[in-house]
Amino acid sequence: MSRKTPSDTALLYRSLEEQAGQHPVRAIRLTGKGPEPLGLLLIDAGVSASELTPILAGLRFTDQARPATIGCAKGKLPDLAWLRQQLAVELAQVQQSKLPCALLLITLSGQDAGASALAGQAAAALAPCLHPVDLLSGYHKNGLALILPGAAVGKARKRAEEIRATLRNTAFTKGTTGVTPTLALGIAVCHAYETIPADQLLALAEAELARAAKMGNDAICQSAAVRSEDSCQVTVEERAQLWMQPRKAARAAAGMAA
Amino acid sequence: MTAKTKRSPKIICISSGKGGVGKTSFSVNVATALSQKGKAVLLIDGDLGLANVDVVLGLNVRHTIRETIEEGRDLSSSLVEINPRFHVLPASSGVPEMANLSYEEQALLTSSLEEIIDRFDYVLIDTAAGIGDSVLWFNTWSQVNIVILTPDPTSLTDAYALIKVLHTRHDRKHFHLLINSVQSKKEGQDVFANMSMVLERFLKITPLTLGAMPQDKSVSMAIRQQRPFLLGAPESKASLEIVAVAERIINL
Repeated sequence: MSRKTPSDTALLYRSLEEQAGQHPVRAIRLTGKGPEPLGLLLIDAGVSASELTPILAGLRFTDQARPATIGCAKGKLPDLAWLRQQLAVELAQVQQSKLPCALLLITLSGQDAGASALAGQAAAALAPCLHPVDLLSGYHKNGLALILPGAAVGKARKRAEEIRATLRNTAFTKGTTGVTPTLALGIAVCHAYETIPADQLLALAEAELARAAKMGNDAICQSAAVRSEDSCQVTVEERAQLWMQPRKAARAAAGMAA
Repeated sequence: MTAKTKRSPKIICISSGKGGVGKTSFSVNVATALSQKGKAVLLIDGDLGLANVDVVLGLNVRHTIRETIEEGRDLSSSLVEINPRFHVLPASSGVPEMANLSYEEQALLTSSLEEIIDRFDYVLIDTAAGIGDSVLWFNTWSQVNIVILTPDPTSLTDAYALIKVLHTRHDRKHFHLLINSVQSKKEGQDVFANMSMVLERFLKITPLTLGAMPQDKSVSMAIRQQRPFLLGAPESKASLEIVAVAERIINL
């Protein structure tokens, strides 16, 4: 609520974006100087980018369109600079909405595989499994980066497994020859209780990606630190302390009864 | 409703971790006590899928929070007047969809609640047990977090788990503990001291005590009679303590 949780606007916008994803419209966040969006613009999907650009320029807002990047050739995927920019926006949203945000990095390698073409094919293959709020970009020459707003470690891991299954079932080609690239997937997550800059989250995901690449076998890795931070499980030590007093009281009561 | 003037209510969330520790009975009776002290009180049944406040008060309600969420009905039309200073916002029972609201539904409920709460001095939310989304959401919306626990190890562990999640994931730092169903004043003090020690050691949190409710037959009798024990047995040990707790809440 406005008094205690200034996140409601962000939650509402995210929900509207999700709903917009089910219709032939583009949802465009209108952002101002602060992290909170000023508004959400819904544009008919039939309106071309060349028509849209002057309209948005006239509104004097920054175009935060999402996700307009799915299913296109590798050459048209946004680059790492765009990813950093979007990641910064999403991490600011984490503080507002109190919802986590995950970054998933994917690389495709092996068999002298014409890496950039494979990444383009992978992006096209992933289009059906992307959610409306996901943000997909290229990652170096042979990879993809996917921002998963609202996903904590568990959800991000599940999405990574779905993506791995989709890519394993994709028939990649180099020219007319079929190829089977080795996948590596690395996950990093930002929670509302921590403040991580975009570059640091990217570095965390890259470290996990490197670990996954080293493991081979299409591995998915997420940092142990993140796993531990994500858990609120009551530990053995905490339980022992919690139960000390009732056990003592029960012993005393039994002694009195005897 | 007599409380028409705009106020700045204190929003208090009452949770427990474990179910069956007396949250609803406590909520109903402390709301009654606050109203007896001249405060305008709204008690929201925050157990959106398995509501109990209406049962404890013997209300046969026609409209609940569900109609607001599903049909956009004005939330104030669901308010039930118990007495001129005490109103209840009932929830539905046996509706699993209500137990897990989407972001959009949460936002709708939020804005609807904002429209009605400024008529009251105190807004009490009796949440569901556990650490589900709605429990955490109501707790983060509130200004005061009350956690109810009994001396049982299961209750202690679940109350601690709830506090740990609220602290770790939602940055809540201030908790008020109410020890329910104690056999003696000393037992209440021991349970609070033990829980405080664990919270301070592992989470660096110093909780405050709201008191200890004694075991009292009038409590279970009142639940069966669907009437607050404060009204049915005003001189009982439980009633005297609930009045003292209400006073402590006013002084928070």
